[in-house]
Amino acid sequence: MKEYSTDHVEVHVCMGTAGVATGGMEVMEALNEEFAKHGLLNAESKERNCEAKQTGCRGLCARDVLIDVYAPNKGSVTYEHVTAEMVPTIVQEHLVDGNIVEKWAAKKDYFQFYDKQKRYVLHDCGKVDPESLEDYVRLGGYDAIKKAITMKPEEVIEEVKKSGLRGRGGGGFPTGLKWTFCRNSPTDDHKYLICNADEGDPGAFMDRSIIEGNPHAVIEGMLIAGYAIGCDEGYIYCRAEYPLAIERVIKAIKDAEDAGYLGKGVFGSDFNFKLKLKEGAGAFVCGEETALIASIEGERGMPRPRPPFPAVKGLWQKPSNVNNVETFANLPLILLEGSEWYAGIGTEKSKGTKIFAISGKVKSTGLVEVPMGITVRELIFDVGGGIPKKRKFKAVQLGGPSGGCLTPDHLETPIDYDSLIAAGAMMGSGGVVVMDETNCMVNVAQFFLTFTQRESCGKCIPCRIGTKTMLNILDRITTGGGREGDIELLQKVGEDIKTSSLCGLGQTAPNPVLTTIKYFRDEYEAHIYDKKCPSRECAELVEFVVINERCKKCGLCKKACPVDAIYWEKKEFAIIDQEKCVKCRECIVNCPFNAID
Amino acid sequence: MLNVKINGKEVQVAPGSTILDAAKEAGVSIPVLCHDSRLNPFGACRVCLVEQVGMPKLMAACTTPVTDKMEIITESEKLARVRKTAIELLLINHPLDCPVCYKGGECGLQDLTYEVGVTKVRFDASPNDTPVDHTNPFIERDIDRCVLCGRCVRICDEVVNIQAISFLNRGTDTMIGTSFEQPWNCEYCGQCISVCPVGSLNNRVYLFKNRPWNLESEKTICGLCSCGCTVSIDYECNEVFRMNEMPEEGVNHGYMCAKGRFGFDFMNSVKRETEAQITVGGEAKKATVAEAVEYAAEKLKGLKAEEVAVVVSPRITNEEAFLASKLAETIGTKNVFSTETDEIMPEGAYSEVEASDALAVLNINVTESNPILGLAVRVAAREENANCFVFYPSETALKRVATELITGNPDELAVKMEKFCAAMGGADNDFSAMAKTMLEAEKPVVVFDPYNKADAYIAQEIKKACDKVILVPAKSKNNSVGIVDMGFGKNNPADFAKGVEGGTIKAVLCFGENILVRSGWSKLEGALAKLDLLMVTDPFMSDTAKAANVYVPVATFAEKSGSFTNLEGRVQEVSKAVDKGVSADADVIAALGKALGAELPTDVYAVRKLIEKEVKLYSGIQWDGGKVAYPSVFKTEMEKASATAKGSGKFYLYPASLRLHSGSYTRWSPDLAKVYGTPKLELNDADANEMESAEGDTVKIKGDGFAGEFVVEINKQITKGCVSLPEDFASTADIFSLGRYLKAEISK
Amino acid sequence: MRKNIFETIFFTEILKGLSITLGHMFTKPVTYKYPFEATPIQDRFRGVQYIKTHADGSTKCVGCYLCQKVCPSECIHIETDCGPNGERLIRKYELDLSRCIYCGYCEEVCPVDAIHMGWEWNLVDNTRDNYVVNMRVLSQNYKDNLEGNWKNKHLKKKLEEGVQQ
Repeated sequence: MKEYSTDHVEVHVCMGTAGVATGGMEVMEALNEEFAKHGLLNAESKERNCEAKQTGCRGLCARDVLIDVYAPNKGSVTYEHVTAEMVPTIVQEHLVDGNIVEKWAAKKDYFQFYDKQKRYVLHDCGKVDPESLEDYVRLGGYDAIKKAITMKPEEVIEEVKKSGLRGRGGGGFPTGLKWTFCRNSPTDDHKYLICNADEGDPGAFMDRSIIEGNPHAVIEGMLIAGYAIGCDEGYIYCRAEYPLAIERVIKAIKDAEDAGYLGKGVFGSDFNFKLKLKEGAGAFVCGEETALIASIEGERGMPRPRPPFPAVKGLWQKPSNVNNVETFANLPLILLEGSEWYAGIGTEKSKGTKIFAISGKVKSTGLVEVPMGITVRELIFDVGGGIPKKRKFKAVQLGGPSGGCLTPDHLETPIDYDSLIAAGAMMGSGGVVVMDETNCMVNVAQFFLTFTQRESCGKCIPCRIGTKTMLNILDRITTGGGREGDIELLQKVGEDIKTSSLCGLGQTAPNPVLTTIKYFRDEYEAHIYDKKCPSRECAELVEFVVINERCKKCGLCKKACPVDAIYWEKKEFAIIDQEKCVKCRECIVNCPFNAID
Repeated sequence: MLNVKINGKEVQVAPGSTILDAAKEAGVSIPVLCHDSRLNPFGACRVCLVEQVGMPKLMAACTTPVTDKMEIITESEKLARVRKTAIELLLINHPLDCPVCYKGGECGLQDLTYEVGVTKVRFDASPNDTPVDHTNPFIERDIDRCVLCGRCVRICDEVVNIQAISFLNRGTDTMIGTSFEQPWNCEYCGQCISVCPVGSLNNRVYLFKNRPWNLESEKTICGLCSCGCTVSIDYECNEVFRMNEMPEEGVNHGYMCAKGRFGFDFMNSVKRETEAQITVGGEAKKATVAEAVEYAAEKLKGLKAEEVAVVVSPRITNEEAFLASKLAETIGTKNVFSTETDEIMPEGAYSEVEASDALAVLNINVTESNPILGLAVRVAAREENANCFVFYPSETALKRVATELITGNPDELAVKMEKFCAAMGGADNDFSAMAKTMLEAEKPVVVFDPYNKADAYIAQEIKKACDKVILVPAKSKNNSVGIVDMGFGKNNPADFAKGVEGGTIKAVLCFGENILVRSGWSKLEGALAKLDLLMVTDPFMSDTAKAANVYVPVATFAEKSGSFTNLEGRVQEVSKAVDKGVSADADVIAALGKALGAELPTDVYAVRKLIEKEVKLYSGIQWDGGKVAYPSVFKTEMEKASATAKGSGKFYLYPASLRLHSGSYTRWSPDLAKVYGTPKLELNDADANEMESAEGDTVKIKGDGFAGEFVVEINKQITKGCVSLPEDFASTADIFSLGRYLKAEISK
Repeated sequence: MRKNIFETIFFTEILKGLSITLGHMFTKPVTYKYPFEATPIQDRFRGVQYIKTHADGSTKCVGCYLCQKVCPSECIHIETDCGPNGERLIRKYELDLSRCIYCGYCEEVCPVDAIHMGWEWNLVDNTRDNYVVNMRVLSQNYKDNLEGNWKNKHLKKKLEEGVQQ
């Protein structure tokens, strides 16, 4: 990996989805305007020649728009929460006068976010212009494939095997082994390579950020895999909800084709590779490889029974290999830096780094890349910055709706494929949802099950009706209709759904329910027997009265109430008018003393 | 072969078999719901899950191929639990209206519920309650009872290739439906009904008429077209309640068409005659069969042998046709006629069509005229990826599978077919590539219409050019082939018309034929009235029967035993299922023979013995599915016939095949007649717009020598400038008597 | 056994026997003077069937053929059909009372609680044909049952007296 350096002043503006949404475009325009005004565009002096450049996501999306000012031989300065109005000041003071605008520049806590991260896969994200092939090539792009085609395909596979890379889509199947199956599978004409960019977990955006930030890395990874397996055609299956990613992939494919990196005779070898983009239509189940294949074929996105495995009969009944975006993005690294270097990162069985999307009750939500083996505590408290509002950490959901919950007892669990499964969670695609003491675990289970239930394709009975049935039971528990035996029923049905469902979606759908029952059974019992929600999140089970012993008469609840249902005078206890109260829970959320129950 | 252990029992199965196949081999039954051996594995219901020793995960028996030394356990506590849970889950939303459900008693879900022993559902029931859909005339759709096994969707896609229905929505909202909730646009083949394990797709003809446990079944051959489908006639107390498929049985593999599945009801029709009738001097009086036969015999005795003609219908059995020929021998006449001729005989079998790698379908809408042959063509074109070239004036249902669909008005089409034929012979033209594919194929097949002389000539030339081509002449009626074998194809049907009109024929013994709706014969009405004797046997008072002096009501194919020879030349046994109290043609013929002094046997086996002795082709034939070995397809060299449309006018008129009807017989079926009862003029939408006529309007058609008024049906598949009318209606038979392709003017 | 002289002289045994006879002369008789008197009918007596109707008078029977199937004497004959709007119609429901053995299986098997065994038992009629009853008669039986409109005067009395256990 080359350290980023420039020969002139570059201002990198985050133009990922979050960056654009918070006004990245306007910042970009304002920058160019200001540069023109001050005569900084194409100036002769290196120090004065300024360029505004769009880049991908840096990770800490909570502080967008982020801009980095790179000056030659001076390193970079980062500004947070930049708006178009701030641009003239920054340009005037920093670029013209040479004084950093301290009040807007990123502080210590910003850099703390990066301290424990090891950004290898995301190294170029945020530095390279995702829409420029030249920029990627300047940073050493497409060197890996150039190196790969000098090797035999078997050697490439061997290199990947040696690196210990495992599939980043969730299953953690050794990538090299998977390739071997597909490579050894006989075919009369084609083999297909598919990049799974149908990222559907709530709160996960790793794949999107990689594609938006550095699409060429994915293409290069696919070229390497295609060469190693012997595929001549590839598909990037990207969900249609990622318009920016799709736009950038299409441009990247076109640029690569124009440059001769894709198509016939890649880099002068006799390796041919055609790449196409296929847009998904917003079905979570299409992230399952057989459903994804059905979707590419134009069929209804429903999983197919395995065997035959895609490596034998996949897309159009031909041997196919499906890998995740992140897996492909790892490949150029392995080829360039060598498998020994790669195998040196991480734990014994899980090598390299893993990208996580941290969300929920943590201070710094965003995209992080950490080496395998880092503990859950480090991830949440060091990288994520801990729980806000001085509340207690309660649980963390790893692996999205398919994964499971971990409790404070598991904080020292190292994050790698096998340890997480042993603890009852899973790596999944990398969604991390942190929960504090105000989160009701029954409600959390209900939330994830609602998602999987809605996203079930409807093919097999256990998943189609089973998840709905479990959800119905959870619904009645959270609304005060829980019955004796419901917990056992949930467990039994959940186990049956897990063992009998057709695809991964159904086989993992009951996980959030089962793990929350396992670790937070008392909460379920409180809901069923006492008709109480200990975390006061299930509005139906909360009475909405002020407990005078705890009330400190601060009046914050009155301010928060949107329907004026709370009466409060200075130095008086607050009173909630039950007639007016709409049970929106704003008062509970805003009361610092847990005085409303 | 692979060694597999199922529940400890060792069996050997071929590689590629599934666990389910191996279990079948071992005599172990595994419950299934979504599986159908004729369809691709789906693996949705999870009822057939089994355990493999040493594997943590359960696997679906219907989809998992076996591997060597696999050890499978099909019964365990864990398996019983997950199966039970799956069925319990299904029963949450399934309305438990078994007492009134169409499928009650033969329902897959009922059986499974008993099998896994669900007595109480642990979950709160919330039965679906949506209105039942009656938009399809034959298929009732109750989506509440659906278990989403997907069999209907798959059979409609994989076998019928119409793709009328599909899964809609997802999750618990998943349902089976049509695109954009449109009415069903399908062939009404009812294959979806046959695979539905629950009462979600129901046969409206049988709906609520009876319950399955009351019905007795008789395996027989459908007598409605030449396909020769093995079907089961389900009856109670001499009333036929349904004609049902027999899964995987017969040449049809258990598939059926709309005629067979929904058209059987004519057998129970109250319009059927029960008494014979003798008409003297325009006055009809009822009589017994014996009286009628005696009357006819008396009349015959007063006539010279050569003045008598015997006409048989291709609906009657081989045995009856043989007896009829014996009767003609007794009388001493050589005037034996039918609509069929012995010029063209069958060659290819269904299996050869299904395994073909290049097909040409010459000018026949095979999916409509011979639906099961159409399915065989689809199997070849779809599963075997055969090249399929279809020639037809309009677009046909084969469009989806056809490599190339060649359409055009009849004149253009004739030229194109001739060019194709020439290309097969080596000429270099537009069709050379197509011809090359056919010539290079290993098992090329040509399906053609044997009633069209011009096409038959082309088929003959193709066969000459490439000997490995297998010809499949798609004969029309259930025993079109058999009656010819029994000697009723020797004479040209035109001679009959000449004889009757010219007065050389004075008596006609007509067994089952409806002379007045056949093109070529339809104009004989006046001449028939002048005959000394016209004896007609028919289950119904047909147009011809009305004109008869002597009418005897006879049995339909469900009421008699015998055999039919189908379009492949396969002889198949017909068994008597019900008795409607009328005699069979064989009895009438034998009685007539006896009155004329000949002893004719009526027992089927006795007749067969005689046939085996006297008919060379049938000597040693296996009556239950044996294929007759014909020396050649063409008896003599066919002469080139003109296919040019006759007359003048703006529009081309050609005869259309109807999937719902086969001749005039099926029109007695109330359900088929409801959907298609009167002839309709099919017209392209552009032409209809030009004429400003809409669907259902009546238009006049006029050509050289004919005129008529018909109701318009707009069909986008019809080529512009062409119109089509169905054959075999009294009003259309007259028109097509003039020629197969005509030119006509159409006005409002 | 030694004979007691006292017993021999005073015919005590005969008197004992006479006292029993005398006692019975004053107890209520256990026989009924049928046909002049009503015999009691037990609550679970299985007499002529009736078929329940809905409030609007339409039959509760759905024509599922289960009673026909279960009937050991094969006395029930049902014919159903499909109505013009796809509804289920009962074309014929016939019960041959002369064949019926009043086993009550039909009542037990009925999934919609339509057919019931009634208390009516007096079936004397002139022709055998009259024993074949149809849906109309069976529904009328139900109405009669509800209204206490019994053909059988004994039953009328029974209803007046209330159910005798």
